[in-house]
Amino acid sequence: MSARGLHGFLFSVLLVAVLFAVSVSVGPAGLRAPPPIGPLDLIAWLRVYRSLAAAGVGALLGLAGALIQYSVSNPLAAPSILGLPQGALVAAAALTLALGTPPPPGLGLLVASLGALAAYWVTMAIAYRGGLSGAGLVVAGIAVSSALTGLAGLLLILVESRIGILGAELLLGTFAYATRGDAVVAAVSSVVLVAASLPLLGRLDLLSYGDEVAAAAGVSPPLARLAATLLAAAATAAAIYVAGLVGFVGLIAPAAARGLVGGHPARSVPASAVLGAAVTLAADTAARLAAPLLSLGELPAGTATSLVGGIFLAYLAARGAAGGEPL
Amino acid sequence: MGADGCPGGLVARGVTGGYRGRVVVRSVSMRAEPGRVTAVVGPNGSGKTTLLRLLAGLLEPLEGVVEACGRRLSGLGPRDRARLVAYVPASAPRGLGQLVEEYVAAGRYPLWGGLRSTPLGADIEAARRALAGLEALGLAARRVGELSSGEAQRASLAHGLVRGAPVLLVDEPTSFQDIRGRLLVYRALRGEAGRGTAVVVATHDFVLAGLYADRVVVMSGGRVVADGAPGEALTPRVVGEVFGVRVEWVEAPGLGRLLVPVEPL
Repeated sequence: MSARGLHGFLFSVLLVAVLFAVSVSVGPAGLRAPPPIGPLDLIAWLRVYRSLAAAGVGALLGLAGALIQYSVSNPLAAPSILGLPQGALVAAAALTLALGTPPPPGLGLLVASLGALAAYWVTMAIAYRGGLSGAGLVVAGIAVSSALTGLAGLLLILVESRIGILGAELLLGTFAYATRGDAVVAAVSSVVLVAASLPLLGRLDLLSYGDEVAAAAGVSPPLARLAATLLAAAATAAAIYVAGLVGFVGLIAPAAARGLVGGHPARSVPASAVLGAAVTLAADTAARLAAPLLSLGELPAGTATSLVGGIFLAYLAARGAAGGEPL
Repeated sequence: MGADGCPGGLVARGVTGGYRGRVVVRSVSMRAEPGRVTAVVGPNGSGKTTLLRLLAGLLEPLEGVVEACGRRLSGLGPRDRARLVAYVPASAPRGLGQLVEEYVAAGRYPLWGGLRSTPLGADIEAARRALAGLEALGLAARRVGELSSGEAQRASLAHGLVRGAPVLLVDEPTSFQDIRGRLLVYRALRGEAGRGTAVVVATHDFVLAGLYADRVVVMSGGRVVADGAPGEALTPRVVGEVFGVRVEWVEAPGLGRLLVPVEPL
């Protein structure tokens, strides 16, 4: 790893550590930094779970975004733009309605992954018909994600009214209800999926130059793309399971990672996971601090990421990134 | 790669192939000798790219066989095939913020161990040497997506050269080059042949092929219509029929014979 890559990576890790400490220390209940020695009190533990959930979900979304972007060599191809989390949410809500009770984690994650895959497949099928230009992929994604957001909203309201569990709030992801189980799912799945993606990154590097370049180097483009897509769908599903739809982290984190550690996926994909954790921790902390100012109990973290992410997407579009200019 | 390392070079026997039932290349037989530059020449749409993809093993022939160094390509795994045959497509690389030296070094990916994903110092050194040979070392620290068409074309040739494969196939490496760039590209291809590599270049530029190739295969309508030394294959009659151009071979003192296009027919 080059000096620039190493420094950038260490900076990202440090940033996450600082944000994690801040996230655990602040909130509407006042400053309650965990004592250096001795047991944490209940509020401190809740904040640890919440911060772990936020960091894990951010890492999952940063990973999913980077994997998708390299697999189609398009800097605008974020999961939430292409419909993956919306598909996961629709599938998870439909499963919950069918079962009449919240699904067990294993089944829930599997069905949500399949939902993400199905939505992405539809987006890609539409984009291929349109010639798969950089902008065409994004337009197809907006069509699919908008339709699925509407469908997810309907299903989630039904879930809320019929089953009486958290529903429509999942459309703007939140960590307010993060439990110990959520923290474990987010932390374990993010570490496992980042580790599982590492052997794929050399192939993704070649794939990002073009299918012919990859094939000529002995890399099968369909297999490499499928592997990246499966990992991204699983990461998206785990993020949805823990927090709902925290949008645009998969757009911001990969671009920031490439700016910080360079464009080679062996450096930028892990860095994107770390920076995704930073973005999500910062968004959740900001939303928590802003809520009392607005006399609100809770503000979903997704409000902050969508706000920042939308502005960032506008910046990318104005720079001409839709034409394929890499960041 | 020495010639003894690749007996027979690259051989195609009765190769027919194409896409989704559309046959583009029809029963082509040809040979590319180690240490020689073989040019596949033909107008646009004559099947050059499809033939190169068949020769690279990226497209499975409907009929016939392709052998590199005596081994049938269709029987090899993708990594073994890539070690024998380096193929440089005509399309420009896209990439997502990688540096040119990283893109060029990634040409050695088939030589790396199974789990390695990044170039090491030796790979970057090889990439810089290949770029320097094309007078493109100044591109090394630029991003792939920021290159002009001509710069990207030279970076792609370097990506193919660094593999050190016994067979090198290059599709239209000079289409975006200025005159000096064309000469640099052919100097690099001749240099690669000088190391014993079987070099195949597909081009519509029969003038450059006539100057720099040891052997010329002329394609038209997916078939080989002439095959031999430049003077034998690129006769005024063949070039007139295939390209619709009247040409003359003229004696150039100190240079030998040059193929000169005169007028459209």
